Amino acid sequence: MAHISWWLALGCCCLIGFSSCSGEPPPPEGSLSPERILLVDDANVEVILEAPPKRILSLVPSATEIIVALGRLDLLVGRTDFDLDDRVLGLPSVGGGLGPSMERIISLRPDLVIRFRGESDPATPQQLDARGIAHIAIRPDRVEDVQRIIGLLGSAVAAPEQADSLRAAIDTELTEVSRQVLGTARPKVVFLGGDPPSVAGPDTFLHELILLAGGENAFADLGALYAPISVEEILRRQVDLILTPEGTPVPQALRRIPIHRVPLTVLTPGIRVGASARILGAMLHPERFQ
Amino acid sequence: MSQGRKAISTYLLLGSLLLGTWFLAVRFGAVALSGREFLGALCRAGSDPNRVIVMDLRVPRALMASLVGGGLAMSGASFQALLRNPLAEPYILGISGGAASGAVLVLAAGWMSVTSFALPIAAFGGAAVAIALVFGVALSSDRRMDVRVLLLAGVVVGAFFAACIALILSLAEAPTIRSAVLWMMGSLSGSTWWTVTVVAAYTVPVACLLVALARPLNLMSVGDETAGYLGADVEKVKRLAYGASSVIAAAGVAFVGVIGFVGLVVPHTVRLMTGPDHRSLLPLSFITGAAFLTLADLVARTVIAPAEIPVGVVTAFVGVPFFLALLRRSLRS
Amino acid sequence: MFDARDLVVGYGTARPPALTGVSICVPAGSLYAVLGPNGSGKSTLIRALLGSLPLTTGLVSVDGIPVGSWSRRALARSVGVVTQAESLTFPISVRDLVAMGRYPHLGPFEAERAVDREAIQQALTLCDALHLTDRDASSLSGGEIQRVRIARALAQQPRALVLDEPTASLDIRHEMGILGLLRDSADAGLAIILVTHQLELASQFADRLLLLNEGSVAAEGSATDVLNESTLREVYGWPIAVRKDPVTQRVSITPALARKPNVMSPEESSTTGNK
Repeated sequence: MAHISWWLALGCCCLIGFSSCSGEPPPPEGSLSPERILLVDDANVEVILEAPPKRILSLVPSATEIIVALGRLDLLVGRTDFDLDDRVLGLPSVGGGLGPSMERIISLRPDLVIRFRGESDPATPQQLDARGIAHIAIRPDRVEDVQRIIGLLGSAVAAPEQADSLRAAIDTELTEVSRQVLGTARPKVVFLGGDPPSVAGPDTFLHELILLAGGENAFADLGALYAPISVEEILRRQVDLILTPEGTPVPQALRRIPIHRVPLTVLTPGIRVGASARILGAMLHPERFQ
Repeated sequence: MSQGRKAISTYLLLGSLLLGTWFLAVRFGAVALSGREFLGALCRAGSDPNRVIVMDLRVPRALMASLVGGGLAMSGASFQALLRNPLAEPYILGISGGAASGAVLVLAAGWMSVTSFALPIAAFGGAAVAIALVFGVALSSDRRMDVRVLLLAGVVVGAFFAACIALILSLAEAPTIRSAVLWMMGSLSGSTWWTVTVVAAYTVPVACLLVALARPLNLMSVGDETAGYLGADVEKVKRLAYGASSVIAAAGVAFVGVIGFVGLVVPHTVRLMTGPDHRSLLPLSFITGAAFLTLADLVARTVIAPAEIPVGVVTAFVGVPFFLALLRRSLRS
Repeated sequence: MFDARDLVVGYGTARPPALTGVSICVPAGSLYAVLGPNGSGKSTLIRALLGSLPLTTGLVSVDGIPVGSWSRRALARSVGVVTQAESLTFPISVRDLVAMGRYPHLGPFEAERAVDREAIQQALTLCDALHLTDRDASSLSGGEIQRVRIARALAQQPRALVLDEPTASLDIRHEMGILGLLRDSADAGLAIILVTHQLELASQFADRLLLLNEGSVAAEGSATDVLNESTLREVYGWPIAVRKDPVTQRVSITPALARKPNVMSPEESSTTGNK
């Protein structure tokens, strides 16, 4: 009998010992910090940060750009292989934005990770949850997304005024572009990418840019975001202009239509939305943008 | 006797190879740790990042690689005996196609947000559908699991699922396609203690079952009729062995994607070393497969760190020349 | 040991049954030869006796127990079977191949014991295959592999042997050796069923013969009962002379030499006509 109780006592001590090794003790009640930040990300998930983050890892290049533009480069502790901004090249890389190296992430000890919303990389959020690392998901798909993300990140880094002024600057530039193309006839434009060529449909960023730049998307009735389209259909719609990224081959039959090569930076929504709209505007209405 | 001593030394050799591989897999990774930091990570408890890296990332990953690699090798050896075909491997009966279809469907439909287990469940479900189709065809004819019927059914079912995958991907968005392709090339990066436990719960009992079927599998290698006359309950052995091998293969695929080549090459390599007796072939294949995949995964995640090569690519690039060299040596002797 | 009554065995309803009304009784300590032309049902009979084929009607019992009630392992401990052919997928040593004969005596996790090693050794010696022990079975000649497979059946230490043309690839020395071995084994108490084409040797070594023709029994009994010219001519469709040496009592079977083409005597055409 004595043996059993001795073993039980020993067992209890071990259990207590192990459980106390597992992490920091919970905060005492009633000490919720006034610096608490509540974020609602693009997946409509509420993330509560007890204090403004001091070590941020952004897996989304456009978010990195935004944070730098908000003047908080000092909070960034890492980058991805796809971050091309000179100012962040000195930071250690964690690999790709999708499927980054978990080991590298852990070694950087971030208290906030910014990642892509969506199904492309299901493992990363699960791993981050398992380590108790806060993360927010963003999806910079459209122009309005950019504005919202600037606001979200502004709250996250406690720089709301800079966020507001950044948003205002973008709004101003977009409005300016719209004003400059006012009253022009809208050329029929198709955005072509990939091989076999896929076109951009409605609800895409490129569709919005085309509209902002004073054009009309010849495939505004497409049933998908991007879809491969036969060359015949493109010819049938009698497009006035083809926009295509640098380096994409254009099918022979379409070469008689004016082709404009679009720099790759224009293709993804980010803080340079205004400049992108201006570039496209100059392609569609060169006479208005001298 | 020399046979016994040879067996023991082979077990010791391969066992130490596996232990060595485990050590390397835990010591090295995308983050370089000095020897001191490594030892510190092992000894210190708590949420120190180095400890998390070693104990919560590398150790489960090495265990998962061992379980999946060993399971695939054992499953491959078993299929080679049952189908009496040296080219048989765990996916020969359409399991990889079925699992990939399930996974791609989940990825394309965006069901990952429902539960983190949606992907493995769907992949396992797809594999189960493939298994059911193939064995359904084989059992419906009067032939009762005839080898040729199984092989043909496997090829056809595999082709069908490949077409399903192609259809889904042709209508899917770019991120889905990327995820699907990467999944189909295999990756151990999502391994956690929890997934390791689940895979172990499948793999260990089923592996024991296969080892118990070692002698009947020896008999099956020389023909169903002879096996029956030498005491094997042929149909029962077939049901158990096909079932066990399929479950191991499906459980592996469900969590880590399609890792090819391990199930084909490891049994042949072990057979060249120790002969075709399944009593030694099966356990040694498990150990060798475990070591091989753990090592391949180590290479996959360190060579171009922090990016990772899909582990299926590494198993092919490393395994092919090694196996060819071994084959040439055995043909010469 | 083997007792079969009125067997009717078919391979499906579309074709006529492979065996009709066949009865055979093979007691312990006897050597029974099963003869007949190709397609007469010899292999079918073997499979039916061993419980591998479902019976349409009839009863087969082995050692008094219906064959369907035997577990495969128990049957394998009692009956050694040598089939006509088998396939080898992977390189395997002769010793490992013969060792399979001991499997019915071993549990799933049991290792080989001394008694098993002895049985294997002895079986290889009896079949003159001891020198082949470490060879790769797929490198052996047809005759060598056949002896190895007979050795495997012997390694089972069975009480009965069923062999389907076991001497087909063997040279004279080995053929006589194996048949002598079978005769000795029968004398020692085994029940042996031997399917063979060798009419002479069957008459020499077997106690009783069974001659099948198109699935039914054409003749059964001792060599003198079965091997007479008219029966053989009818069954084999070829004139065969049967002579008994008055001194040694050995029967010699001599098929007639090939006839000129397209010449058929009237009596032969009437007997060969109804097939």
